[in-house]
Amino acid sequence: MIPGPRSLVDLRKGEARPALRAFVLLALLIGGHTLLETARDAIFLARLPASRLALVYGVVALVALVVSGPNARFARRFGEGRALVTTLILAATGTVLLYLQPSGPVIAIAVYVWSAFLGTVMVVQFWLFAARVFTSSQGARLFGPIAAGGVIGAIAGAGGAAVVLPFVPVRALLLGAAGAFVACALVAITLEPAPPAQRPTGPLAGPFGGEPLPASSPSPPPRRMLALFREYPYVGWLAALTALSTAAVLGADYLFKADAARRVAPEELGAYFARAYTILNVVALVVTLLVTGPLIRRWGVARVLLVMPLLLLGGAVLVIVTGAPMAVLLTKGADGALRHSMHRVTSELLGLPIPSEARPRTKPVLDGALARAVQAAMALVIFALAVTGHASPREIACLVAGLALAWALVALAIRRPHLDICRRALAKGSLDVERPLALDARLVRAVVDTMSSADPADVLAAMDLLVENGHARSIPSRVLHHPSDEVRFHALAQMTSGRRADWVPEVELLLRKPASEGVRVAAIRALSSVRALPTLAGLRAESPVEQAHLAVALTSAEPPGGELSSPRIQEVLGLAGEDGSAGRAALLDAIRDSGDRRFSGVIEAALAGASAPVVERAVLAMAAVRDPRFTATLVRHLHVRSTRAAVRDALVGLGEPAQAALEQALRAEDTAPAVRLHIPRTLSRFGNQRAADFLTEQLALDPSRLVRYKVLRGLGRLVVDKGVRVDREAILAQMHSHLIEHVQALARWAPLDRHPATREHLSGQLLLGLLEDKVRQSLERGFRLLHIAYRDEDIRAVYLSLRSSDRGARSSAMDFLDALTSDARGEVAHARRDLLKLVIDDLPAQEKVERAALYVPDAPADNESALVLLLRDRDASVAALAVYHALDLGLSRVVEQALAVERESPSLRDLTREALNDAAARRGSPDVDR
Amino acid sequence: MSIAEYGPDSLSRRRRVERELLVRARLAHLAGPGIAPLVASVGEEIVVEPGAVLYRQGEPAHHLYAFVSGELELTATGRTPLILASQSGLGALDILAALPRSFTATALGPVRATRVTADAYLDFLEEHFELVVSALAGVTDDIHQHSLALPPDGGFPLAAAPPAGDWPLAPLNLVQKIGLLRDSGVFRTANVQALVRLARLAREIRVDEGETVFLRGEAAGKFFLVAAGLVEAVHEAPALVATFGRGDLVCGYGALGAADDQYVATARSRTVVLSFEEEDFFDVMEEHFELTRSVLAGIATEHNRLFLEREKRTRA
Repeated sequence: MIPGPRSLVDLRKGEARPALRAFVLLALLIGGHTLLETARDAIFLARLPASRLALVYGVVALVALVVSGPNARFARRFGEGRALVTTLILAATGTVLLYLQPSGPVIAIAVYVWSAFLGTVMVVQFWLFAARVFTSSQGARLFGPIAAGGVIGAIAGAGGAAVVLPFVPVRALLLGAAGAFVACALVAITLEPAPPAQRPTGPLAGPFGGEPLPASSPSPPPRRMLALFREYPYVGWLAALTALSTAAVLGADYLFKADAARRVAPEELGAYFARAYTILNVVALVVTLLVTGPLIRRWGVARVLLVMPLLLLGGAVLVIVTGAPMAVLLTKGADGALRHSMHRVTSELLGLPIPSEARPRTKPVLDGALARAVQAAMALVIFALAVTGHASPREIACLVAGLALAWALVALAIRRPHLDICRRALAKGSLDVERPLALDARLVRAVVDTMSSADPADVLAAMDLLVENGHARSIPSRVLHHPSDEVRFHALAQMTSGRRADWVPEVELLLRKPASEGVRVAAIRALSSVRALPTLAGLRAESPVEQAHLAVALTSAEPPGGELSSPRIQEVLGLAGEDGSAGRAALLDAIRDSGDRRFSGVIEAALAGASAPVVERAVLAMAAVRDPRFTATLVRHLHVRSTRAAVRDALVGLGEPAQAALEQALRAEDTAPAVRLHIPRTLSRFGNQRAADFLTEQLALDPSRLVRYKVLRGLGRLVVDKGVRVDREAILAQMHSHLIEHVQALARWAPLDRHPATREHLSGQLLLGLLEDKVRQSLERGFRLLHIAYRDEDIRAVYLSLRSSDRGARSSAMDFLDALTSDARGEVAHARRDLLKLVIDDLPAQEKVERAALYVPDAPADNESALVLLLRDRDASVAALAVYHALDLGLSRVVEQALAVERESPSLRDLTREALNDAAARRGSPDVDR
Repeated sequence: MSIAEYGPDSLSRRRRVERELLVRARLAHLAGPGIAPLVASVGEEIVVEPGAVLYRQGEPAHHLYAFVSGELELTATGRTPLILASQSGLGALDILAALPRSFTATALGPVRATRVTADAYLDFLEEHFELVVSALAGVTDDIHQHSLALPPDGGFPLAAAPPAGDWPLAPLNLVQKIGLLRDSGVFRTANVQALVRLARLAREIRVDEGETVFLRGEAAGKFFLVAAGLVEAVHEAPALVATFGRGDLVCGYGALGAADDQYVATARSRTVVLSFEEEDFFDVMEEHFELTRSVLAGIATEHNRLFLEREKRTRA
């Protein structure tokens, strides 16, 4: 994709207003808070030593611990927007009250604690609100720019403080902060969202509307923190990340402030902090606008998470090595520049896959209670270090380095749990597949009892159930006397396939009574299977069919070698007319049943001059005897539907030579197209690595699109059923090709779709329909390939979610794919990932095409250009419909081009000739093919 | 003695056995025996309390149900309620027709059922095309049986006389053939790719008024679609006479099976019909599963229509 201005802010229809409002809201909120923070630091360090920071960190943590629970309940009960407005009004009032108090150490501590308290409560409330308003996929695009509002607010706050501090006392900043909170509340009032009980109904409905993330969840929201961790182990990972990052940035903060207290005069502290914060926030803005979004899109959330801990680690190591003030500033710089931009955005994105019911409880606990508890613990550690004289910059830097390293390791390890929670969000409603049924003796008896039913369907079902569960021997021989022929055939087939002979007397009895030809033949087959030769020899054939079956049964008992010359067989082959056809067919059926390769010569003899039904039976007999001499014939008959299953089984049974023959047939140009079509699925039935490798190769090589689709389906089954390995890179390369086809088809479709005249003509409607088929199919094939590449993932559910009308479901699917492909390495993999993300995006078609300009440099601008392009489509149907449509629209330039294209590509003639003849007829000129 | 009486055994296993026996015995005729392993492998057993609604009229059809036991009532606006006991398969036709539920199904007593997702069912059919062919044969035969029970017109809708001047002088071109296919109920939701393939396989036949389109037995392995004019089909016993106009399959949806073999079809005006070989048609269906879905949807809808027609006439 060619990056453009959209890389900075990727706004979609309907998103501009809520995003802008969220941006302004955050800018004002953070601006006011930065003023408060600047005043806080200056007031504190001017009146108290830096070592007391540890104490105040602890107090701040305790206060935050107390308020985090009520804060969450407050937001939930009031609604996130209302809670925020109320908090802002209280913030302004409290700040003004502090301004009115006389200055002193107690007020210095109070300002510090108040500032931290507001930071905790307001920021959490704001992001809870944002997560309500935007889906996770919107969040991935918009949270970065919205966070930039916070950074701009911070720059304005710190910059404003730097400008006014030469003229006003530091305490005056408190009034500025209160003013900002009031302004913020006024904005927030106009953004009052719908009450929480009433979810927005339309896309981005209401001032801050929009569909919430999927509301349904398989389980109720966890009530306690431990239950939350148990139900969502992923939350434990987030907690570890929060704890380590909080501790590390607190250490960096102490390092910076202690350094400032040592080096800067107390009266200069306000201006110093204001300048430092301004610079850090400018860097943060640049990072937010130019780095965070593109980096997340390219690397994915999980990898961007590593950036801040690694930079913090680098800064701390520099402090340890050099001890220089610049190294301290760099360490704080990593924190100041990234904490509210990249780190905040990635943290918010990591939290989005958590179900929406659990998220309101998770976030306050992690960002509130947990973060503050960690701050308290860290404050104790720093305090202990300060008291024991171990709080030098190098020693604190060692602590920060250790924490940053642990943070980086957790960030590395969180990728898998992140993928799991995305997967879980998609897996709602899936079915568990039951394990195979195990029948014990009692259940077997119960099933056998159902065979006394007069209904053949009941008896057949019971027999199948017993056979499939390994209890064929339990089928009682009395079932052979069931009035239904179907039951008797089935029973004979099942009983003869096992090692039992208790049915023989019953069958002999059956043959002595009047019975249909079918039953008699089945009885002969059964007796033949146990070589009941005396009984068979004593039978008198009542029809050519019985004669054929007896001939095969008795010849089988003779020494090998004389099958074709056997008088019994020759007698059947010598029958003429209808008897001859029936006899040959029965002969082939009997050979099929025997599966005896000695009769291969008889099959060939029966085939001579045979009618179609006899040929079909011969193929089945060939399939049954599995003689390698028939391999080529079997391959040639793959296109016959009625015998295909047997032929496939036979080819698989023939093993490696048959597999090689199939491969050769697929490669050969002269193989009938109808046969080629069925080779891939036949090869997949071999279920071996060789088949997987060959099919993977053919995926890229086969000239026929339809055959490639069959290859894809065959490979898909092979991977799912047999667990063979595939070259993931090759498969993903093919996926990429299909996605390119998808955007190319979209590029041809879009101008036709836009043109008002297209749908006025049947030809235009059909052409659009045909292109829509191609757009959909190429995407579906891309996803099938993705499933092959990631066999353990439920890509089908992802695909269905992406096609869902539920915005939340689509968003979860996008998150999942983002996480799944976040390990992309190298330019090619990144290009693939970018294209995948583009095609699944909710963008309008034309915008997708524009963004995919790299792959569709020739994207037509109007319908006429699109039609000219379609004339050269590989699919002749597309070209033909394009000609018809051009004729309907009277686009003579397109028709002339069609004539030229036809001359260049005679293969198109079959379909386009008719259209061009139509054109000639309309012009009153001779047909073009005359 | 029934399976349920074998006391100490695991309840779930007993239920599995009951379910499998019933599914194998009762569902097989609907979609071929191959459906049983599908139900057994991806089916999910559900228990519905008395009075609970299994699905409602108008809802999208996401599942088919294979019932093990229980009594259900099917109700629909303007219809006499139906009571079903131990129904084998329910809801499959809505899935095939890709239509919202045509009834509301309410459990009258405790009902145990095996639920299969529509997607799993359709995927299974795509992978096992032979089942589609056997299902097609089964349902088209059912449709034909319904028609035979609806003399004297077979329950076929009355075809309108062709409008004057609506006569294609020249042979139909590709676009016209595809347009005709798209206008016929059976191919209405098929994708254009499949229709292009079908259109190319069609053979155009022109007959004058009074001429025979096909005699009894001549339609074996083929089916005919009216492109222009009117065709009258006559069945001897029971005596049925029906007429078919533009977009109709001659002899109705049963023609996709073997029903039209038993009719004599005659042109009642100047007529153009497109003739298709069934084997070619199945090949295209196998290559384009969306066509298969469209055809199954068409026959499911027709099956439902004729069932209602029978019910209506029986009541009358």
